[in-house]
Amino acid sequence: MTDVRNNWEARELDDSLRSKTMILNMGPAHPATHGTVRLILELDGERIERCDVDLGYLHRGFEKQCENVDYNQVIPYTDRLNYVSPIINNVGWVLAIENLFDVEVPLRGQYIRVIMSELSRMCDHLTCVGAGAMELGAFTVMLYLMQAREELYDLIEQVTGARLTISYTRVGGLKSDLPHNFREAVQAAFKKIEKHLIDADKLVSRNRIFQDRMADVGIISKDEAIAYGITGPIARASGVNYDVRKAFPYSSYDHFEFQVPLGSKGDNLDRFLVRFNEIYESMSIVNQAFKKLPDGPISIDDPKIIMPPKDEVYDSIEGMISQFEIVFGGIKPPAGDIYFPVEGGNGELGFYVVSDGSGHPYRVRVRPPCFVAMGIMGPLLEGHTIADVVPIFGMINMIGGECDR
Amino acid sequence: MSETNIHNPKQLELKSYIEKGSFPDLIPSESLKWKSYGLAYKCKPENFLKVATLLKEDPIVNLDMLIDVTCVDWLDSKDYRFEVVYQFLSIVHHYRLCIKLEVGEVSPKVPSVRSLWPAANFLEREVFDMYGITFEGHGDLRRILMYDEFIGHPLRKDYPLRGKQPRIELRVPELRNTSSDLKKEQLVGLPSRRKISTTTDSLN
Repeated sequence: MTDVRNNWEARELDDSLRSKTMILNMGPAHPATHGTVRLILELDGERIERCDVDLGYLHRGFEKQCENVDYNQVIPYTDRLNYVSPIINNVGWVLAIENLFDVEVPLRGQYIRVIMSELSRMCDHLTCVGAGAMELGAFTVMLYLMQAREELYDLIEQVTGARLTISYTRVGGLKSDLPHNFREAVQAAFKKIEKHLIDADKLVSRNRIFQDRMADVGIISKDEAIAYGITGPIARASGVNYDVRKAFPYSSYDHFEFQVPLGSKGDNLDRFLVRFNEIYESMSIVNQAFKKLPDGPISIDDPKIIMPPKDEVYDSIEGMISQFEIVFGGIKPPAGDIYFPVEGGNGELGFYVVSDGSGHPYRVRVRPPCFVAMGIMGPLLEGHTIADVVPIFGMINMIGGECDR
Repeated sequence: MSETNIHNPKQLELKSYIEKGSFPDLIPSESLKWKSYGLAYKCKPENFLKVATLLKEDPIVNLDMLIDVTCVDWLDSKDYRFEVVYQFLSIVHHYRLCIKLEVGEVSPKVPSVRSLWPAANFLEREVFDMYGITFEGHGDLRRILMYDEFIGHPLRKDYPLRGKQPRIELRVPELRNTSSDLKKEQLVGLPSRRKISTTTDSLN
């Protein structure tokens, strides 16, 4: 298939009417494809013969921009990558840089990162599941899950001050500790979220229309998922038992016991159910983390990496010097490179960072799980009807910010 | 040169298996700074496809997933300009491997691994788009994130952060069997609401 973009001639079909296929553009602005992605479909009636995916409408030059700013100044840019689960991006970036320095944040900091990552992951899955159901017409499900997500946003706002553009982590620690009574607030929110989840499940699990539109549609086999580099809920729905939190544990995920929901068929319904069940698993991880949360510092104590507390800056000369060095020169990891993956909401989110010893990164690369998952979108849609594009696209959960960066 | 700080026993297993000699084209390289899993090797671009096939099909190594293809532009600091970096993962064994290829500046070319791992389709297209490295054997190498008429390769170090691009010509619509293909005169009775001209305005 050479140069499909410039070669989209409608082909003649072999029937007695000598009809042609139709080229349909599901353009970047489309109410059902959330995110700015363009699908060029070649149709025979309702059936898709060929599909091409045109990405890049939300490309903002993240990787180039990062080469010009400090390591801590990259953190607000990472928020805008996967903007439905921003803390996971923050944590991934910061862990990559901490591994370049070869330091480890104290245990309380690690547990708080786990808690916030899991709250963020719940937001991501609630958004995907809710929006996916809404696109099939189940508007109430979406509203119930958006209400659940609002509870989570309230919690995140209590901790970080923002709902979406969070920038909570810093290299070497966190911005600030958890507020008082956060554990009780989380337990109260979880009770409400569970009720919303049960309501949503009741509406959807025995609904004939929903099941027929989702089951056996968009089947990705296990080998295909591995060959196309797909990880995360999509691959787990196809039976690939791979979760970065279990396989390559980071930030003390190995201290917690949780299951990884696995599907068997790899159709839309499996992807929906895997995400739905991962919400419960995330809640269980957060509860375990609260039980075991130790007291202590949340950031490491190295003045070359993290800024000292303000009273030291104003009272001691060493504090002032280290504050000055970090603000004006930036933190300077040793020269070298690292690839560090974390489990994002859609799969393995990896950061490949090359440092040349100066205050700015030399090269930053985000390995976006959605981008790689869009690689299968073209071959997957062949043979399906236009009506299937909507649930398949919804369950692949392409987040524009992460795909295009 | 092979300074390794690999502690993880599985990765050490992989390292010793590779260095036993079945993969002579893999040259040990400084490992990534990821304490346990940063095993990295260099390879010459000519030999890469052969090595990649061996690594994928070898039942002990079995690198069945291509995680990432990316590139670093070293401009003048090293004797090669581009370094194409591949990250591999074995789902079965949980091995991780990083392979780096050194590519020169003049007509940079690397064999494509799309035939082994279809994940390489989009990943290599992005490296082509951002750096201009040609992947031989890819079959569909065109820009992915930037628009087709973009001039240059944005992530190269000599491309400025705020590079300016010329205005592009209005594209011919891709639909070839609708009324927009018809000439204006044939659309009887419809006033032309939009001036489609390619002459430069005085505002240009």
